[in-house]
Amino acid sequence: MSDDRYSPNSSPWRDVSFEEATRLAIDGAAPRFLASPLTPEEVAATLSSAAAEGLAVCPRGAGTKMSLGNRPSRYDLVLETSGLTSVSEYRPDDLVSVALAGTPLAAAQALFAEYGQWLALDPPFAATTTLGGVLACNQSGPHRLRYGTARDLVLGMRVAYPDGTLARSGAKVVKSVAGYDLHKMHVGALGTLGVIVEVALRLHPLPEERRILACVAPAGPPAWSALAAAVGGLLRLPLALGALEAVNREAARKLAAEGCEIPEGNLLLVLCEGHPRVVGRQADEVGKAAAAASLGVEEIAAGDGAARLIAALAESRTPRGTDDTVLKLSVPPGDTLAALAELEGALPGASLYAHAGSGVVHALPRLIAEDLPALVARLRARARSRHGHLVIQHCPSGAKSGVDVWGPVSAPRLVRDLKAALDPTAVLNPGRFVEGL
Amino acid sequence: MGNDGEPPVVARFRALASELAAIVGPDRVLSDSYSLSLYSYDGGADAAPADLVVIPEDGAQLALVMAAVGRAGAALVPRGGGTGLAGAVIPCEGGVTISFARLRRIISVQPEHLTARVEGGVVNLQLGRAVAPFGLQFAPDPSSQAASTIGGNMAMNAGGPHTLAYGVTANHILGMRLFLADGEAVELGGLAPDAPGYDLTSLVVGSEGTMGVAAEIQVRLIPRPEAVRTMVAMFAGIEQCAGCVGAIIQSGVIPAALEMMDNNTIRAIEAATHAGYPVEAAAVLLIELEGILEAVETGLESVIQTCATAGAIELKVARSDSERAGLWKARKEAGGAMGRLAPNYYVMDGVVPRNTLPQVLAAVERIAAEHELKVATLLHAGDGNIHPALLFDSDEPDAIDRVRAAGAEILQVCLDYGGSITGEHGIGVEKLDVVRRMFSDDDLAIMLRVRDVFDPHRRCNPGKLFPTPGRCIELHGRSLIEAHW
Repeated sequence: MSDDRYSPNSSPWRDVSFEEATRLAIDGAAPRFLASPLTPEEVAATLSSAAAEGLAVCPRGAGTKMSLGNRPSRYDLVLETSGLTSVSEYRPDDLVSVALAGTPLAAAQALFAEYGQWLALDPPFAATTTLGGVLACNQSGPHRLRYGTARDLVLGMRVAYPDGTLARSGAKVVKSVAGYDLHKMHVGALGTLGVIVEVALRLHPLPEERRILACVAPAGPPAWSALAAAVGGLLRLPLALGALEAVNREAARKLAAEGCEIPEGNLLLVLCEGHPRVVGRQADEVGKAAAAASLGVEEIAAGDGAARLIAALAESRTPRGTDDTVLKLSVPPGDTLAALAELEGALPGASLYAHAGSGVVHALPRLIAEDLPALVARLRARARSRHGHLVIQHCPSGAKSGVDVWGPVSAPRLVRDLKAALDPTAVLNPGRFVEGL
Repeated sequence: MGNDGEPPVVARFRALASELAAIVGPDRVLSDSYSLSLYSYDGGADAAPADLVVIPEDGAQLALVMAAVGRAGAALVPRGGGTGLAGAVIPCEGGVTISFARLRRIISVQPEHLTARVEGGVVNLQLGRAVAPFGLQFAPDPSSQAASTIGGNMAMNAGGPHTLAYGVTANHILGMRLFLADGEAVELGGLAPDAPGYDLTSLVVGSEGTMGVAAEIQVRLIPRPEAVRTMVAMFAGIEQCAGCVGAIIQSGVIPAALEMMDNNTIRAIEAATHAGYPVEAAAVLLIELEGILEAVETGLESVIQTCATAGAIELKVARSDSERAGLWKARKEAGGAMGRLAPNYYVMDGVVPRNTLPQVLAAVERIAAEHELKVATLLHAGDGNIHPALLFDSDEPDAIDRVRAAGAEILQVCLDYGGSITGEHGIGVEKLDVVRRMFSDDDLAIMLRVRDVFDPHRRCNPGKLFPTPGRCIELHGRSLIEAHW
């Protein structure tokens, strides 16, 4: 690849082919230009050129979550981060790594695993997604119970802004209180304030042993309250469980159909992990909590099998086709299973997956697109009464015209002003984020 | 308004004082020079007086105070326990100090959601006691926790020895009610995770009060451990001791706390407390493991093995709760004990990658020697957070200049090794002149744009965090004095 693409006389982008335009379309909108910068500096230069020419830019990593967000109001240039792939620093004896944003998560994890470590995020699309994509979309998975979410694991960042500024925040060490933590602001901002080009990450040791226990709920309406009692008991102990996942009968059936060995029914899946003696104790406590709630319990996976099931649980929250809808409900943690039970009533036949200790439920409902706006309005009102939120993670493109996929935000004026301060001409992902930003 | 001949600025505060007195009562608005001097400093070295100090009684009064201060367009400085070490609550541009002394209600504890909501003036230890009956704890434990407030912990993103396993304050704040400078209140974050929109909560945590004033804070609670074991590992060389830190980190065990002390520090705290630290050791590690019993036992076995391999000459596990408490009491009072080593000392705060501790500590010793200073070093070693105390006698010629020069060089070493100029004390006013060594003008310009979204007239805690030459008071007017950490 020649470097003169970025000489003053050459354009930082090129026209897209017809095939590329189809592949890179977002909700039916196709870009005209494609840029594939190879360095953070080139990202910044591309953004400032685009801003100068009034082009709307959508950053893209592996392209696994391009359907997240509202339909773009403008879309001219796709900025691929696939040229920004390297783990530039890795210090196993400091549990810290620095990597460019286009680095595939799987490649980084493979490197860390050689030293018995990992980035404690297990988001969906784990096989292909990039670090930048995981952070920009604030993706998490079952392990968020133990390790928190991206904001808890990102130590610092370099970000390219639409005016061509390349700026850092945070540090490359596990503790720093110097300056504003702008890197946490960019987590979940969908690239609407700047393009993440480099990240410093806190790592964790991989557990020695993993086992998954399943509690099967009795049939009938009290099912979820029995599981909720078990979850409540486990959360109050300092067990450091890896994950507490709940799935309904429909979701369990789908997981089984995809090759996971799990029982039928409404299930609570508990990931015990750590030193073998710790895992033994965790399993004992799960047994006690299950017994107290009159639930049966059995071990269904261990070792690599357990890791595969956890990955499958993360992956199961993704759409299987463009017509699928994925809703994400968040509520106060203690209400997770009550909210799940309520969704089951509102969405007959839906597959439901909960991070049962964290207040997050994903629903893959069966519905026709025309019903979505009314349904979302109803669910959002319920969510709000629980101090929660409902976000459409994915839905058919055609359904987006009648609904805001994000819903209302707190402090809307600050949200709008923040966008105006950092991206005043709305170069980045216009229309896709909250408040029509 | 205003009396004849009175400067306009004084007249403005006179009018504001009357307005505030009508809200909180005349005895809760302080403007005499004695009171103002009492509120002019924190645990650090600098001082400057406010024009007014106001002490609201509750959230309703705070809202009215914020609105009045906003209408007056005055600078405002929220003040919690005043235990900070970087001067972040010093009203260096005057204005109104808002004391949180009375805003100390625990509004709700919701054990089922592992959270509590508190007023900003609730003291860290007070919160800990309130949630203990539920089997829960608030994890951040700065050494100032008996006096520092949750609002202050939030604003400074406070650390503490036990942040190694549980994370710093930022990891434990779920949301807040924030007053902006104009008196508008906004709710950020909340009980449910992953709210759509920008994560403004995370932005405000650690912003040193420059974005607004947090009236109420929603904190995350975690279960209390069922078992705790504490041990001391002694080393004949400081380098071996520092090297052991990286070895423990890489071993896969995450202690709850991993503290290191050099010989000068050990001697000082033993003289003060007789807790049982070995005065002959060149350096020691204070290691604590907590959690379920099995995690503590297996972790302890692993750490003992790692320490032995790293060359520890002796390992001592605390046999009783009182022995354990003694070790920690001595550690947390190390600041005061430093006074036994020299008439004055200056505690620094920097962070380096944990695998570079041996080289960094050697450099600290070298720099101190070059400036003819003694140094006593104490580290949150597990986080790579170093606290060298430069020991001096302010009566000696050039002593303060030598301390400043050595301090600047030590922070440069932290940066050269890829670290940070502050791990938990903050920038405040203390480190304004070194911020630019860590962040470029571009970095700071972006941060200022974000600040201006929250506080366009820069009235919230002005003069902090961002270097603004020529604006602030003559700092360092007071001599460097002893400070704890």
